[in-house]
Amino acid sequence: MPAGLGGGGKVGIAHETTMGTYIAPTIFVPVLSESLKYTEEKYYSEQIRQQTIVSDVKSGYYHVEGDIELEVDPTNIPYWLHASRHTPAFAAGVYTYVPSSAGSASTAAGVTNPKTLSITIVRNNVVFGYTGCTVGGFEFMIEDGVLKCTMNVIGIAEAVQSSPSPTWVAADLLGADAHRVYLAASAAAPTFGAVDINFNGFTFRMNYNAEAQNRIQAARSASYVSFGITEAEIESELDFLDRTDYDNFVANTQRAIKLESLNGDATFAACTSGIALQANRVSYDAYDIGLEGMGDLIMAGFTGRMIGIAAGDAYSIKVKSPSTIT
Amino acid sequence: MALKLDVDHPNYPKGMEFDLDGIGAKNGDSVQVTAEMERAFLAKNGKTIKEIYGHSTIVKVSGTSELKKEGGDG
Repeated sequence: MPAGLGGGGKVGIAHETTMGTYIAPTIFVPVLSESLKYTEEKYYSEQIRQQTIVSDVKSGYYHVEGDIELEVDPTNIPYWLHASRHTPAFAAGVYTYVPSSAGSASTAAGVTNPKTLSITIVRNNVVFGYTGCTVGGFEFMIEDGVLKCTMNVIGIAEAVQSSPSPTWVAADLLGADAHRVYLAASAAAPTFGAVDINFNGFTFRMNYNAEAQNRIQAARSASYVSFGITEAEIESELDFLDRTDYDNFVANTQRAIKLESLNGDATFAACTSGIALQANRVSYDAYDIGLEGMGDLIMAGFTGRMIGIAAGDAYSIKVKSPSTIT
Repeated sequence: MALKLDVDHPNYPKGMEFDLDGIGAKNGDSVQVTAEMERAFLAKNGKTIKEIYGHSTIVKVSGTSELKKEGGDG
């Protein structure tokens, strides 16, 4: 087979009905890059036998892990979010994802919350089928004016599969004219006012500290994926205009921050498709302001950590999508 | 009868447009595949329509390849 280009590849996904049992893909997701890989710790024998080089090797436990970078498309993003550590709900064309109060401990319990994914990747016409996959973390960010997302995927096994039959749908991207950032006082249901027009970049990051767990069984693949502490952050920079949010940082006054990326209308209710990333209680971890140079704009760079809030959710992700997840 | 593709994707609304590796189709509709479309598909993908969609649960392939009628390998 001759060498192939990345552009000829394809990524398809399907929600599993039994965790770790492969399902051929029905949803095909255009990606920008992927690095899902077989990850193994081999055992190298350090027997002492009058030599200083290891004398044998045995295959070890393995799992699959890597990043999938994609442009956020409301048509397919819910399939990924259903496979992350959330309690999903669906009403009137809108998927809502909030962290469950206790948080799921692992993918071992089944395929409800979160669902697990079979991910099929074709590289140069060679098919890789990754199973038992979950989204162990993700990062939404605006880059070149377009909302993008990097999914950190962890799964339990990989095997060759049949070549999939792709069904591509038209892209529905969220470009530079789709985004609006809002700031408000922290509350379980914040009251957001006018759009804040001073932001230069926006990153909404989740890390569920997912880890593949290998248990003693007659197989080398992982048994399931566990989750740890949820680390949720927002990172951005904005024009530095006054001390308001610097003082909030110093006084540990929490804020609510929301990014809406919408197509078709300026409001989530009336848009045709879109996503709203909302943090209800954010504590500024850092709020840096400096004179970077004679010709540089004075910007404020901040990192905010999302924290729990009484009678509400630390954050929510809403997606208005034409898709129906069954 | 020439090849016909019937598309029924349960996760997408009726009428949503698909690209089936170079063939346009709407969800819930069917597409009659001409010999020219088959040739273009084969040139693009290196495989016939039946080879790629013959086992699909979303796209049902029926009918006979026009290429086969012409003595091709379709």
